[in-house]
Amino acid sequence: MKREFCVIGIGRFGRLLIEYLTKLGAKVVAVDKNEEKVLSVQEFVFESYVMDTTNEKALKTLDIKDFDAILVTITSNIESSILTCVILKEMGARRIIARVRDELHFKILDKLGISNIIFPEKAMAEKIAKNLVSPGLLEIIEVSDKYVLEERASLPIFSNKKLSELEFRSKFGVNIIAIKRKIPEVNERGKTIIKDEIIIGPGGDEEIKDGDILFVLGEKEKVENLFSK
Amino acid sequence: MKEDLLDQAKLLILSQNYRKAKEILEKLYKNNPSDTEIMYHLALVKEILYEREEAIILYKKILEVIPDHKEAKERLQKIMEE
Repeated sequence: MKREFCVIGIGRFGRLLIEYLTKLGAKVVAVDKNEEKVLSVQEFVFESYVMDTTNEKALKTLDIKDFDAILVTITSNIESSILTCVILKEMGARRIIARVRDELHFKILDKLGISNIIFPEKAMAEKIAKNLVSPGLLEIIEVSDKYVLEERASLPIFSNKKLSELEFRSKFGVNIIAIKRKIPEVNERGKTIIKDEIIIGPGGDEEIKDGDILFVLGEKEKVENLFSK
Repeated sequence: MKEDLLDQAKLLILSQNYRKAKEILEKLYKNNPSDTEIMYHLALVKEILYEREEAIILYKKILEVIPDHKEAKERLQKIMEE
């Protein structure tokens, strides 16, 4: 069954969300109070409405509880964003994901109990900064306050060594849970190409190769220590 | 000479000896800056070794010369998606 989402606010971010969700096969309902914006996405979405979502009566015309998630991406008017979230919450929306434009906006929605708040500029700035400081850091997932799962470019000093030799777990207290590797081959046109291979749960005999991407699970500090070698 | 070195670099890539392949390809590229075959293999190696920006520049250069270079087009698309 197709997952159903409602995107409220068709700015640049909302529009991109709509595009990706529809590309991924989701059923999307788009809402904005600006008719032009609604018309601009009409051809991609399942349904679209011109609506002021701070108007409770108007919002009630949507079957809010049917959506897997409602994405509130209004940032041009914080008041509208807050009111929309409050009304949606009261109407029993299953999941509200709200985009904020600054810290104050974040704090207010947080106090209102909106659990999924996204601050894309902040997240992107953090990612870029971390990547500049540690160029091999590709992705980071905070598993808890203490633990992270990081996608890291392997270091040349690990190359051509077996995992058992490197002793990541006993020496550094981290686990390599997967390795992404680019495998070169020659295609039917005689050209060298590369294909991605994923090794899940690599054994001790697995040798690290140049260009490997390691998925490292461990305490934040320990993972950082390993890659600051 | 150029062909021999390029063949050697290709073999090094296939045996996943990317750093040695890169050394050879960089020298070849310096002396043959418009050779798209050298450019393509150097881009591959740079992509594998996370020199992403340089790989993108090389793939784009190839496509300027050969707009329908299938493999370069595919790699550039993939690298931009990542």
